Amino acid sequence: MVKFTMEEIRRIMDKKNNIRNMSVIAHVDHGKSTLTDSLVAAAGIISVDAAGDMRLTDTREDEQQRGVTIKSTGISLYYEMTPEALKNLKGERDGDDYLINLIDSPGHVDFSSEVTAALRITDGALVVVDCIEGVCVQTETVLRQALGERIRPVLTVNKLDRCFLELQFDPEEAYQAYSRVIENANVIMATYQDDLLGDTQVYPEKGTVAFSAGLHGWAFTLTQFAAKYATKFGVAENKMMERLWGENFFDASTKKWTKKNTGSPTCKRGFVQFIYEPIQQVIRLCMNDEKEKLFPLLEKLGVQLKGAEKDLLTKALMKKVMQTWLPANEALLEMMIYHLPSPAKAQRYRVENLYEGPLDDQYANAIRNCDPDGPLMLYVSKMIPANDKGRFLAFGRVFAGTVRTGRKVRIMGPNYVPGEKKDLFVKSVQRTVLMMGRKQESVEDVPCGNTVALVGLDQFILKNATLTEEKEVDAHPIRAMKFSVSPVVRVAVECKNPADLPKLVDGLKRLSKSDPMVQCIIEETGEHIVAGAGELHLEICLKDLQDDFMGGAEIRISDPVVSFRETILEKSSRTVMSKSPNKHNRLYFEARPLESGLPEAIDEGKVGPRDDPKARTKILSEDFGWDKDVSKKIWCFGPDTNGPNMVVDMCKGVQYLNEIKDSVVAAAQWAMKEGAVSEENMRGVCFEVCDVVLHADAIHRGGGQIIPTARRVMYAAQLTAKPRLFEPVYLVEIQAPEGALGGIYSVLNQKRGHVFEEQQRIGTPLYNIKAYLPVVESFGFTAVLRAATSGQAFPQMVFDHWEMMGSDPLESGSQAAELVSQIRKRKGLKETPTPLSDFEDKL
Amino acid sequence: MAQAGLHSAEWWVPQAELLEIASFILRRGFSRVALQFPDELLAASPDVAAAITSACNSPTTSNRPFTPPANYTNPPSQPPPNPALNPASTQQSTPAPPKPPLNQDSTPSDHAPSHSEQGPTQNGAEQNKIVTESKGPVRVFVLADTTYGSCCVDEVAAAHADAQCVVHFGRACLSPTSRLPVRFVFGAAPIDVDDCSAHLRSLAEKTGKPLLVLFGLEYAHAIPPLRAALERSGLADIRFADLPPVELEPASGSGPCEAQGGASSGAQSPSGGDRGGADKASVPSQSRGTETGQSDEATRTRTTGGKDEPEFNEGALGGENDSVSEGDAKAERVRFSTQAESSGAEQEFRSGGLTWHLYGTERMSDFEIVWVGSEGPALTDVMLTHNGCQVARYDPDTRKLLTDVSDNSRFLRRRYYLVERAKNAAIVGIVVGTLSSAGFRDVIKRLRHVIAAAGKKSYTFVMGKPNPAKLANFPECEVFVLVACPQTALLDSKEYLSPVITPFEAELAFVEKRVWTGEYRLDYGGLATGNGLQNGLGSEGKGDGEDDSEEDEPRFSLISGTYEPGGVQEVTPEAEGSSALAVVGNGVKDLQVRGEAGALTLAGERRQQSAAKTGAEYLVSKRTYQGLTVPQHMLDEGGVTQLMEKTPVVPAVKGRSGRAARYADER
Repeated sequence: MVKFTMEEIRRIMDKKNNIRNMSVIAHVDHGKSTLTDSLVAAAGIISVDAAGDMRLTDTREDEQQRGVTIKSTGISLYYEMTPEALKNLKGERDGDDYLINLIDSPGHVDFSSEVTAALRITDGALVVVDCIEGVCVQTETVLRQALGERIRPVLTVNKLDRCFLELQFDPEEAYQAYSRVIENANVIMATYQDDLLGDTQVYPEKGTVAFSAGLHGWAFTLTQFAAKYATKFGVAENKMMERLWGENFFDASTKKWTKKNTGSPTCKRGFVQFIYEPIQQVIRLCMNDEKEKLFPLLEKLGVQLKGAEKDLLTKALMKKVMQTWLPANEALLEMMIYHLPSPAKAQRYRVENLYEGPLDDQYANAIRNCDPDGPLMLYVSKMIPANDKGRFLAFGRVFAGTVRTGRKVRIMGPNYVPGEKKDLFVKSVQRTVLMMGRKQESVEDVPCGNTVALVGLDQFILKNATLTEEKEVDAHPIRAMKFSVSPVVRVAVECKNPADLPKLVDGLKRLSKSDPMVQCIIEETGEHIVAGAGELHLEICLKDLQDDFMGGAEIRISDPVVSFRETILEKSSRTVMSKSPNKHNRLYFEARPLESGLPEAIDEGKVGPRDDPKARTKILSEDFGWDKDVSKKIWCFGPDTNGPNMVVDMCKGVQYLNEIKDSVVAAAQWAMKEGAVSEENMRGVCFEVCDVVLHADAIHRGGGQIIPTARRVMYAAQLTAKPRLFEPVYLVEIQAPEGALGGIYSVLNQKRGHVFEEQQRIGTPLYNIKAYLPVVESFGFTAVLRAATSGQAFPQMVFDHWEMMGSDPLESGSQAAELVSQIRKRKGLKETPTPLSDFEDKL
Repeated sequence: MAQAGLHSAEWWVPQAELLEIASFILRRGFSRVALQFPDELLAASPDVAAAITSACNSPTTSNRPFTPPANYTNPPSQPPPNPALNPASTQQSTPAPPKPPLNQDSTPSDHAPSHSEQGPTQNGAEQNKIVTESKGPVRVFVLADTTYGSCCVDEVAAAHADAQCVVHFGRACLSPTSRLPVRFVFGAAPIDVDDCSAHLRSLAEKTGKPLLVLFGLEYAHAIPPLRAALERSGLADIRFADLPPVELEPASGSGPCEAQGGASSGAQSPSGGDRGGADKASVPSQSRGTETGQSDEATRTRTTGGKDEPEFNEGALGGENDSVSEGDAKAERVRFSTQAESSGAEQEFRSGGLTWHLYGTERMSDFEIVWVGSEGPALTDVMLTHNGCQVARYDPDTRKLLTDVSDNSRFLRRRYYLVERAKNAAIVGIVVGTLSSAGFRDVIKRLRHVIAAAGKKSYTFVMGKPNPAKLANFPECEVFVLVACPQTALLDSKEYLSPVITPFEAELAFVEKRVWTGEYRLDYGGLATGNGLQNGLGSEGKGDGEDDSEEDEPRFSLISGTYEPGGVQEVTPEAEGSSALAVVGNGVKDLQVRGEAGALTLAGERRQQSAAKTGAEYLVSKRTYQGLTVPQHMLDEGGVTQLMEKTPVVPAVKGRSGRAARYADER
């Protein structure tokens, strides 16, 4: 059944111009996996009939059951193209056979990290957009990510069948809908324009947009129709293409093309007249079983049905006819091969995005030239559970050199620093395999430009790593991936039987491996925390943990826990002072809120401890109005040395000040990690060292005296500066018909959410609602919303920002105070925060 | 509660006990005696010291009125019978200085009749005799402000006074000492036995589990009456811990296991255990074989004094019957235990001086523990060690029974977190928290070994009672291991910059093959019992040999959620040399760069990079302040002049003056 052998695949792997690495990305439910099936079917892995229903790339049972993709899955496909189909292809090629390494990715926003991992190892992306729903929040997110990685996109407008069958669109209406979709996508692409990548916008008339009906397995690009009509009209294909889209009208009676609708009833848009209406007609005939009219028409179109197929009725007939007439794989493959870059081409401009080291060393050159004989550079972007329970395959892409079974490789983990031994291992690759959806096939070696899975390295790679050859000691790693979501939803897990703790730890390790985003950590309180991007993500992770990674030991899962941040509203009301335990040293501090936007800038790494001080001063003074001298006296960022809080030295002429700096910095990391109110991280707090009185003898002003004191004085400063809590807030996007709006609003109100944008999608009865919703309130939100709207509304939630809670956490009875006491209770602390008097001393 | 004599709010020593102490001193012929008081009892120390001195040195004062409290509700409301001074034993022991324990134990057993029969009628004549026989006046020293936990015997301070024995007052952990014999005075806190027994009865009915009664040492005096009361009421499914010993001989062997287990692990016949169980702790060499009814009697004889208290308490409750029934019960248990012993399954448990046994297939989790007494480290110790058990607490002060007092899981989780933290540490500080608890040297030795084997660097600190300020002076230590007695070993780590863990936890963290099973120990037993020093490490070494390929497999750290280098990172001299060079190199570079770029950048960066492996490396790579300017000899001629040129010459100015609380120039 499979139309190709491993030998063929292996042979083509060496032809770096005939490879396309691509991912399929889209909003949830826009039909990625279904469309992927068509491609897989064309490669002969599954039958064409099953295409659309099988969802081959949904390898997990729960993916099949839920009908939603959870993990990104790779599949290598081999196609033999006809020379005819390739005649217009510019650029280098090497024979007519092509290898497509395709990765199907999940569309649900909770699994965005899987998309990130997929994008890293591909060069092109097929963006799937539902022609009715249009460009949605996740479409935008993934597009932005793709462009950030310098992935060239092509677009397919999907679910065309709905226009014909379900909605019975008027042809012009349909055209408008499609063009809006394309326009919207182009707006996003233009926003994230990248000079090296060139124009990334997509145009139907250039063949970078396809129209598809994944469920029925058909698709077309204008190229196909253009080719047919070009001969008929006697114009060049590319000229014809242009006429088939946009403001080009054809009057059948006058046989003239115009740029405007002349108003004559026979004057129709090119797209409508030559593409939409013929399809509409075929479908109508099929559905009505008007075979006497259908078959002659099909003959005219050059569609030949086989004997038994002619007996099919309505939908089945329609599917067959359309698949034969406009096979999805042909259109999509052609689009990919023509318009997506080969690794050889893509790596030329991607190298600077990828490689951390100097761009003129041999590794950078090998990547740039996609050199199979160069030093090995392989990036593992995710780990895939192997059939062998408990083991994992390292899935990644060879960017340079060739990876071979049995070869020793140097594994550089995410914390590897060139020249050091941290996070560095040398191990041999047990086996190199290709991912074939649910199956894996062993191969001897894999040259650069291909995706690959490696066996036997899972003890040394947690989530991702850069591999190179053993001897290449001066190679730098490939840059770490940047995720668009962050793990904000957390639960504590514990085992029912305390003796199973080692199993839990092992299970968490495996879980942590199996997902690029999930975080498994142990809190100060000793709780084991699993953190995910959203409720669904967490649910899936916990299910995996319990079912696959715990070895049968049962776990107990707490209610979701949301982490908060402590901040301050204004500058400290006075300078506070604390004395060291020996009373010989006094520290005077104040706290003030960081300028708005600065914490975000620190989060994003625009301002940070590793900056060049001059550049930092420039940003701080120009964007945030800092005094230039002050900006040179930042002692530290925190917590974890790079968080969104600072300590700034405002002292003048204090003796021994630099001696205590290290102690103050250590104390600051500590205090910023556990604020005075609820022992949550601080955010947006700037501590100013106002004055310091130190003992003249060094022995009396050591770390032991200063560290606890500095911590206390920072707490005192925080408490005198109107402490507040930040809570995490989701951006919620909901798409629903008008009738459901009432329900949506009432649920949002009930959950402290507020709508900030409501827009009707032009040409549809659908509304797009954007709202902010506190993460705390988001648990069960989806279910409640669905219940309130009879299942018509489906929210997509992604962490957006931290929002300050209005009430004073120190004023008993306030909402924030209640929250604080809950947090403290969970952490096993006294329910009321320690009072200021415990931190501040009097002279 | 106002009591005559020696008292604090909830604590008092009956006069009888003071006489007991005197008798102990005289019997053993000590002439220099250290009295160790915890801070809260220090106020009473002059009285006690005076009383003891006079009791020892003057025959007449022995009857001096140390009247028991008038308003005390329980047994001693009657004038206590004169404590049993066993003439036989005094005669034996007084002339000779401390004897080998074995002798001591066995000799008095010849004179065995139970002292309860003779106790009350002791008179001054006997005591006179004793005094005249002792050599010279007894000198008494008061030890206060104990260097470490006041529950431990401060042998070092005692040695300063050249004392021959220590009399320890107040809360005690009964950790074996290494040099001096100790007489413990736990005091007798007031308790309403009837109320307590009523509570226990109702608890027993409620849970349906057998009860195991453990108690604060200050309530030891009330246990026999309590037991009697409960037995009278027909509650059978109850077990009591043996009464703690009041005398403790120094551990003879150096091995901690001997000190802890070996001495006492032997089968202890339960009836003997009632009163003298822990005596065995003082008799390290005693073997199982000597375990007979005879030795049982012997122990009873030897543990006079405090042990007698129960006896008169019983009397106070006014029942020959009671003691008879108790005797019966004992007899029964003896029989039972013999069976158990014959089947070879007796387990002994001990915690803070209490000893109890399980027989046959019984497990600790079958019991519900009832703690009689207040909250404190002793209770914590019990709860943690037996974290599988339900624990209820009877509070004698409020007369309430609190069920489900244990919040173990939270606490253990927290400790588990600290163990995880410790795994990531590169530099470990060993903090010596005791200088008396026998075996601490071996523990430190083993810790050093274990830490080194884990590829980490350790430093040992002796700094008295640890506090946050002291430990924060060593920020390079990422974790501290506190070697101390079980009751001071747990430090609330919240205030500490780096976590402070116990040796047991250190073992979990640093010995690769050890895993957290939920078992928890605060004593040194988890370290060394059975498996000795070599044993544990030996097996580890073997493990390394077996799976060679996995030795450098990274360890998944739950603290960071990522892989941390695992296994033993061997530092070859060569590598060490080069890394040291690298550090120096870095340092020099840093100095140069810092000059231009400002310290923040590099400090942050370096902190990110990697953990320092030694204190020196920490200093050079992680601290921005490394002392004053570069020493001159390290600079060449030009360098010095350059330095001189760069540093502006400023006239000397007058510094600050006044007291640190507020210097003269302030306000």
